[in-house]
Amino acid sequence: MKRMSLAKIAVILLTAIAVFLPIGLLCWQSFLDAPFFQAQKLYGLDAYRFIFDDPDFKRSFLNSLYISCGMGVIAVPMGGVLAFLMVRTDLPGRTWIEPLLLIPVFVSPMVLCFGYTVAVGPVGFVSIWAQKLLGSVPWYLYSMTSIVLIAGLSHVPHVYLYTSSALRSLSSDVEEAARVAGAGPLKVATTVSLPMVMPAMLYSGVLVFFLGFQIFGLALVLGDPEGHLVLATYLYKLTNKLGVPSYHLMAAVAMCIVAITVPMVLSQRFLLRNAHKYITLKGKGSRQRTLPLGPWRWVAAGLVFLWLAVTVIIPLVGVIFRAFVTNWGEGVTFLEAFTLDNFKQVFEQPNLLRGVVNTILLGVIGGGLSVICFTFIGLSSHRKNNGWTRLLDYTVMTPRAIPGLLAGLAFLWVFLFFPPLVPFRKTLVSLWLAYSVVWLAYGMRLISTSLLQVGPELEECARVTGATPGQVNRHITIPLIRFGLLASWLMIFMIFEREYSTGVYLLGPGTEVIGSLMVSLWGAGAIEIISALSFINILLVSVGMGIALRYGVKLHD
Amino acid sequence: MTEIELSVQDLHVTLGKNHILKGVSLDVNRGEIVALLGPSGSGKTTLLRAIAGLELPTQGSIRIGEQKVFESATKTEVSVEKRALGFVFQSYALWPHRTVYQNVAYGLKLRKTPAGETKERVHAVLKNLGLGDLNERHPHQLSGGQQQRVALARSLVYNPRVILLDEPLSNLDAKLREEARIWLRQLIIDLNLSAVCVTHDQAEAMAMADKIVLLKEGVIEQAGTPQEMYGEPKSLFVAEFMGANNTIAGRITRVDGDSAQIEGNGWSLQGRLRSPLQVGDQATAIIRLEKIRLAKELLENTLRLPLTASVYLGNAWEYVFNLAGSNLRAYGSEAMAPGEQLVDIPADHLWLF
Repeated sequence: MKRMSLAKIAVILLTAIAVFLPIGLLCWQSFLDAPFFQAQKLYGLDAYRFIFDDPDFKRSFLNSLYISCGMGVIAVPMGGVLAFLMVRTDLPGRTWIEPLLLIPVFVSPMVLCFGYTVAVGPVGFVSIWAQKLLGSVPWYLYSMTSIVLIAGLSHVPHVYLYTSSALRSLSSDVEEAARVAGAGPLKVATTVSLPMVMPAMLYSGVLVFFLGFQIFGLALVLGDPEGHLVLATYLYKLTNKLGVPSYHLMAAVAMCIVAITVPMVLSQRFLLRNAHKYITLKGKGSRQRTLPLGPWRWVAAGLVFLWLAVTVIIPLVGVIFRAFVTNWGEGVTFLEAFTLDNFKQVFEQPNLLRGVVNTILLGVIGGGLSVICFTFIGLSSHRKNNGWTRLLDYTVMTPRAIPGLLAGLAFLWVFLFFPPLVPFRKTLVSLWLAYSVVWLAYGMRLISTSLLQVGPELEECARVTGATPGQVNRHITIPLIRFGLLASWLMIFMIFEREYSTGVYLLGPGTEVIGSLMVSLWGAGAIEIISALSFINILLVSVGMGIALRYGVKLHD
Repeated sequence: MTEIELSVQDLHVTLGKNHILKGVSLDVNRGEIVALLGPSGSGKTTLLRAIAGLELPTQGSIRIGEQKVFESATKTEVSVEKRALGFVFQSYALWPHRTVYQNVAYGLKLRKTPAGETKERVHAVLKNLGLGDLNERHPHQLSGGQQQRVALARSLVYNPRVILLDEPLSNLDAKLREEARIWLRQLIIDLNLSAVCVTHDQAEAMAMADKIVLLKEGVIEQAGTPQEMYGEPKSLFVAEFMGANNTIAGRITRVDGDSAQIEGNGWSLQGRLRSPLQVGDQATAIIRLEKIRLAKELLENTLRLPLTASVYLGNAWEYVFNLAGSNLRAYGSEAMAPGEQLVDIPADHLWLF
């Protein structure tokens, strides 16, 4: 029973190929001086030399570093405090704040940033209102400071998720002991609770830091007007800059981003291993009691609401509002400007309509197929620990380090030049494969969480009773995790609706999705259509969240 | 004529870096119940799992009936599902998504038994175990005792030759456990099965088994009938494991055949040698609590000891005496006031190791 069956090895190898082939292609291309499919090419470091000599690259790198550090400084403390308030105190309205907190995780950054431009941009409706009230607009959306601030605020939920789940596993009597010893709520949070979940916060800090290097949509929308580039937008703009697609340069930039993110992902793995040693207090025995904040609870609620307003409400209201008006400016009233033309346009233009239909198909059917694939991958290493499962471990972890934009580029090349896949280039298959690989780590975590809840003796007992390993999977394991699989399908649906950067390079007739259409329309400045598409996108994600809340699907760990 | 139903020879199992079983051999005859006994970490559950095929041994052989299911020399390994064993897990491992009927019928379904016969046999075994009305229940709707019987029914329904039980009674409460062990033994005998049962409770092992195998750190310390294990322990470990004991440390002062004299701080006793000891050796004397009696007069092996406590147990009194600073416990039938008492320690039952 310790031997691996050939089918399982085949699943693991296929997964490894799907992940490492595109990345390998990027890596190989970065060391060539011409596109890899050309006959005449030489190995060399020319591509790296070129980008390292380019002052724009240097500026992009520094901007990315600045954004990452700023995000860490903003998101980690705020996420930590938010987690403490939500999990440990009697903050008013905790039950309805919880799903709102997760909106920045499930709504595309393209949509949110677009919302910012129409709400608080130089001619946004909040700006106009502030102008009227104060005489001038006290902020400027397109500065680096705003970019860092928005990036930081919108990544607070990432820190919140990890910290809150660590806090939940911490027994509350350590806090009660501190209260009895004479510490106030703030003192308890800063001297007892948060230090004890330090590993989780450190882990999420690293996460936020490397997500900072992967930022694309935010920098594209908010950095464009003033020409602020980050590494991903530098890569995206390379083609425009040189006029011709320069494969080796793009690959070299891609490798530079990967060179920063891969060590981060590996260090997270190391942190996680140590985190288990650190938190000793966990398990069923830990009771949860809330800490009364007294009058401070209203101050805390006000601060949380302020964060929600800035991060969620303003951009969302902005984008929804903009979707239903023809134009906006001084002296225009909503009723005069109200229109449904924006949506009519979407449904009249075949490529936009296809984009909406494709997004739904990719989320529902593609998401379902992905869950099936992830389940096969999960079962192939289930209760096994050998060289093959370690290979799978690293395979699954790798895509986290690869921004969607790069993965999309790599898959474009694979689908262009790998003969058996060429016929699928202009179909959703190419997008589906790229999406599934980009979200492999996320999906596998959903599946393995379900699989780990199946007691090993339930499977062993079926074996002893006379079932083959395949029968155990069909009769016992899969039926036991069926609700977990349905929940995973829903989560993958939402993530696929949200995804935008992976489709950017794969965009073409037949492979339009809302996310990548928004990126390409942004270049053309089609504000009305982007608003309408954003609204549809928000609607689709809301349907997913609605189902999740209705059926009690946990939206995180 | 006895027939060997299960035979394990020189079995070694390594889990990770730990050498769990270090050469264990064991025979189970038809109709015999063997208890695997030992402290936690002694490898008893590993042995059971290796017999079932859930752990892969590194060395040795396992035979079930006429079939070699594992042999390291010939690299034979019959997979778990082809060994046709019954296995009752400690947690019962009832499949929560299946009803009682579906749980029990699963083994027959896998063996492609016709539907009519399946139904008949499942109903028969459920009725036999007193679960007749619970067909359509799901496991979480059953009490602990019912769950245990469903797990048993599930492993019996396809008539395995050997049934393996991993601490089958440990999840029942104390009262139920004492009834269940008698009922379980009778059931196994009635069905003429061979059984291997893991337990850490020596009283349970003695009540249920025809033969007890006591494991310590991956090797068999001693195997035999319950009477042999309790009355003739071959080592200090076995003697200490198999009952409620007093242990007294001392020094051997005289050896005469199989009897010897042991002395401590202010006391001297006659005992029986159970391991080769010389005059002057440090030794441990051990005696079961129930063998110590109060004496009326000073005999050869009688000590005058102060009574420090007298505890009421319901069915008896337990006395605690002070012997050179350590406790010596004994049972009696009446309350006793503190003070000096004459305590008789029969030499035949004082084992010297």
